Amino acid sequence: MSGLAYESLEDVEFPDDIHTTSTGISNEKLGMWVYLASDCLLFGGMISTYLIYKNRPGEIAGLSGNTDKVSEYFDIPFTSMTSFILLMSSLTMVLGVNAVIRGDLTRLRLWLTSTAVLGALFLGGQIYEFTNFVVNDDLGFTSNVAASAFYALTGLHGVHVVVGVIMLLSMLAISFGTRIRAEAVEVVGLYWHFVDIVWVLIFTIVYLIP
Amino acid sequence: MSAAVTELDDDSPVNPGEHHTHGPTDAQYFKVFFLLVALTALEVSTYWWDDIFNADTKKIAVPVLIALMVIKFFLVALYFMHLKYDSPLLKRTFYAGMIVAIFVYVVALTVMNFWSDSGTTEFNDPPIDPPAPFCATSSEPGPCPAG
Amino acid sequence: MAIIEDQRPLELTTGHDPVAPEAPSPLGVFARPKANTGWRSWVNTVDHKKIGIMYGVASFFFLLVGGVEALLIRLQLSVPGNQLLSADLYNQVFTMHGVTMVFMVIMPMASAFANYLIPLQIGARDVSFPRMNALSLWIWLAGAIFFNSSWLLGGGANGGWFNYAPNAGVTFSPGTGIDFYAIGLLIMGIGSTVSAVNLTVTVLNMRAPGMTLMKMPVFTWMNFVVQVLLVFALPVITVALLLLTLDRMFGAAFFDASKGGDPFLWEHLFWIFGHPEVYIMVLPAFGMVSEIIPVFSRKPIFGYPFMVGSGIAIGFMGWGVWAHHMFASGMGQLSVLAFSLSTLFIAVPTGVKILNWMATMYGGRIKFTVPMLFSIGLVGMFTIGGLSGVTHAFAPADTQQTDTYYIVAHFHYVLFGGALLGMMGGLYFWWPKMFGHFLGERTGKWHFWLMLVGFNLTFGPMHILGLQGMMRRTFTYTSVQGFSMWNLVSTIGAFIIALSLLVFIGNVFFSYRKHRKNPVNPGADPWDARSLEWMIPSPTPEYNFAEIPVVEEFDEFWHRKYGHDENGRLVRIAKTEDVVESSDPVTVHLPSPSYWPLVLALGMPLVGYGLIFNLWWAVPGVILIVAGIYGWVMEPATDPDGGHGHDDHHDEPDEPDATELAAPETAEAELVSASAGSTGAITGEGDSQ
Ligand code: HEM
Ligand SMILES: [Cu+2]
Repeated sequence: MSGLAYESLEDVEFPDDIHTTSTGISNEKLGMWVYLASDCLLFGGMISTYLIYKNRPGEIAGLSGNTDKVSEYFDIPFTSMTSFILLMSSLTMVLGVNAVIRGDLTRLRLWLTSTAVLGALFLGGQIYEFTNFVVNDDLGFTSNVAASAFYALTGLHGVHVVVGVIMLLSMLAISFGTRIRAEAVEVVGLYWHFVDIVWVLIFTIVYLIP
Repeated sequence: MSAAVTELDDDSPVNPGEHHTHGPTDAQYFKVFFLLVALTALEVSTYWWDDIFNADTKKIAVPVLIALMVIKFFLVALYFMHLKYDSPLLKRTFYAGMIVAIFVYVVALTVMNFWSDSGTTEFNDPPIDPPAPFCATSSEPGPCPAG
Repeated sequence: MAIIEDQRPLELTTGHDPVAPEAPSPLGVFARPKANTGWRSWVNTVDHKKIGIMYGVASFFFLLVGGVEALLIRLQLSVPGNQLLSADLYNQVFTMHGVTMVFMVIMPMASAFANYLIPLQIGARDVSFPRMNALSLWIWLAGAIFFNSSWLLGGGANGGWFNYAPNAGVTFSPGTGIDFYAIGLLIMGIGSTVSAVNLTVTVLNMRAPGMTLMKMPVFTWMNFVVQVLLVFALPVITVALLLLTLDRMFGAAFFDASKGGDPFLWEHLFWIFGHPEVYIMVLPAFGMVSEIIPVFSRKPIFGYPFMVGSGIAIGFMGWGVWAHHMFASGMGQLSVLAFSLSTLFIAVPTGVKILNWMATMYGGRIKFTVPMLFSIGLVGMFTIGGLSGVTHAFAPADTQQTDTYYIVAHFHYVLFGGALLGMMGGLYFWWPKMFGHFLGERTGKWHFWLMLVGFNLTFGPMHILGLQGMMRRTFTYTSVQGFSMWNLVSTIGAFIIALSLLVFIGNVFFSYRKHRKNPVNPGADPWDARSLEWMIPSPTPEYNFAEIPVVEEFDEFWHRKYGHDENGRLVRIAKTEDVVESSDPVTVHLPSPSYWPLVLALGMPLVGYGLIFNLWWAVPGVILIVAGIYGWVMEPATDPDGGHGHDDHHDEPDEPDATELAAPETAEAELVSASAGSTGAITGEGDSQ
């Protein structure tokens, strides 16, 4: 190993295609951003769907179960807490990115783990919320269109979180195995923050605005 | 040992990580985070405004909420996602997606009368008089002829 | 995409035994495939050229499928009161025809060219994510086969290609056809998204030194716009299809007005996607003729910045016109007015293009080769289609036209007369580059004229029929309606188109046979063309460019051949043979082939069948997908630029990269065998060589 300033840096690989792409941005990072731009339209569509349906309780015949608006059952203090958890996971994520750039693998693992755990907590909160709606409030996916739209939107977001947690855990595994690429962590981080800002939108638009 | 690291070594002998990332420091991240927390707290507080001020605060709360949401959105995008520090191309890419999304969906919501009559089950420009029901036994539109 | 970069990536690729490339590797996964010839080399390839050719072959196959469906439609309508197809079967046939032509013919055929040509035109060795490129091909193909398998599993979709609610709900369409539509398009959408992200990044990131955006050929530009449109349009249809799936399979009621849902939402989501989609289909063909017309007019493209700018403008404005498909839906006068105006405006950049092509031809020394004929055909036919488009931009007129055959005439003039004619021209133009021999010129002219005449006979009369009031999507008509004569003419025209396609197939077959008997290499630059792909040997070597060119000007290759004398007259400054590339690549690192994209893609249709029939089917599907992802991540990719300095671990004989191809004596042999193999895949004769 030639003389590097930081011992642990030998486990971290930095992108070198920066010098070979036309824009100076690595393919992975640009690709992730393009994908995130595309995801804007995915969530935009789901949020619009919810907005259109949110005030349409199913007083119309032919619906099963609860016909109340889903917003009547929101537990704002609880959701605020889970939102806070997701926000915090964004902080731990950026700390992780800074750690891997420094070549500090121990901290990287710490922050990756905390981010994944916080993400899992958020998911747990969502599962709790859903079960609560279904079991205690008798408000299921097919109860009325507003409920369907709510579950579809938050569910799609939840799927994104699940994918994010899996990616974080894979990063963690890789940091123990072979060398990890600093930029891979950063790109996973981008995805994670995006999931977070989508929740910022959902939290306000769906939960807080009456 | 590894060619990749040696290559970087040539580029920046002191700290191989430094030459391609100019993101914020940990301390800056914490600052942004605390700002986000404060904004979130403010957001959540709107939930109790009606009780606190003993009035219908909806007219004020909604614009405030939207403003806070936008600020939080950009704080995360600009700082946590490094848009402020990275190549402008990335910013343009992401903003393009955002603008297209906002444009098409706002227009679609408008055409669907979301802003004016959100909440009816009539999806669109409801006729002034509700359409007369069709009658199965008559070929004319409208209710069944009496008798 | 490799997240880990193993220090000795080649360990996996070392098959040691050349006849058993699947020998288990130390990690217990597939051995790194290394076959360069034979069917395996196609199945595991990550080479953008082979992927492009496979897109082409598959989309041509689906063109025949969709064509047979079209002939059935025309046969049914040839005479009044025909009993050939029942009303229900007729619904399925026209729906399957439309969806097949849009998603399985025009789009993938454009992908074929985009994949093959973009890296060549920007001077790159491959796309930015080669394995993802293979993934998008396989996912698309899996989705396409899945969708068409509905014919055997209870009948095809029958709601029209735009599949309006509430007809698409379970109440009115209880069969599984529309489930196949929803899941099939979702699967293909995943493939297209992956490919769109990939090609967007490729154009931005993989350009040769000096190739600034405004020096890129128009074809690359138009395809870049298309990829960006896809990136933004596909998620919208994904939302619509997700909601439809939830409606049909999970009991939601998003589009069911009787339960508070809103059929109008489907229309909006579909057309927000749908209108950009029509440009997605036509812009690649615009790009092709923008390459062909300058070459055969021997003039640079007229108004290059306007050509590019109008493409971008179309891309932008295409987002603001979707509701012109909904003028008759009762969306309110203000909306109708706004969308009517915006639609009128979008005709402007489209017109700019047409004028630019004509100005390019004006005063040029035009050579009427087959590609040029097709391009001129596009300019003429697309103009007709664009003009009828303008007529239904006027909402009052459109309320008469909508859902009549007039609309059918319009979009066939733009899609067949625009997109398909352009791509046919593209096939004749780039065939020598792809396969190392020409398509027959004389047969090609037969092909062109038959197609043009057949096309106009088929779709021209539909203008009249539509204005007479013949509704589209109605399975028959009576003799007193006065539609009989033109319908018969139209059916005859359809069979002439079919004949022209047979001529094309014959052309492919016989020109290949002729080439095999007497191989004559067309040389790197058979047309005296302008852009970078003509600088490298035909058929394109696996590594594309032995040496990445340094670009100084738009039409770089042309400027290396021609300059101006002091009077401003065009003079040759270099012989073509001296300009084209001949040197051997020394340190080319190609991305290594991989089976994982295929494995991952195979899982998708299984999940689809699971959702439709029995969830157990989804289990193997999910297992395949997970295995695919796992194998993919664990398998180190070789960086396309080979920048990771793996050289010290190279074990030359086992390395499936280009160095061995380039050994001077074998180069010629490779050339021939590669061309034979490629063409074989098209004609099904590959193994006979
Ligand atoms: C000059 C520019 C164009 C204008 C002003 C225009 C206008 C229109 C309008 C207003 C309609 C709706 C008619 C109706 O349903 O009542 C329509 C339908 C259609 N257009 Fe165009 N168009 C143009 C170019 C194109 C191009 C370039 C394509 C495709 C390459 C295209 C493909 C279609 C298709 C597929 C439909 C019918 C969809 C359906 O109902 O199934 N158009 N066009
Ligand atoms: Cu349109």
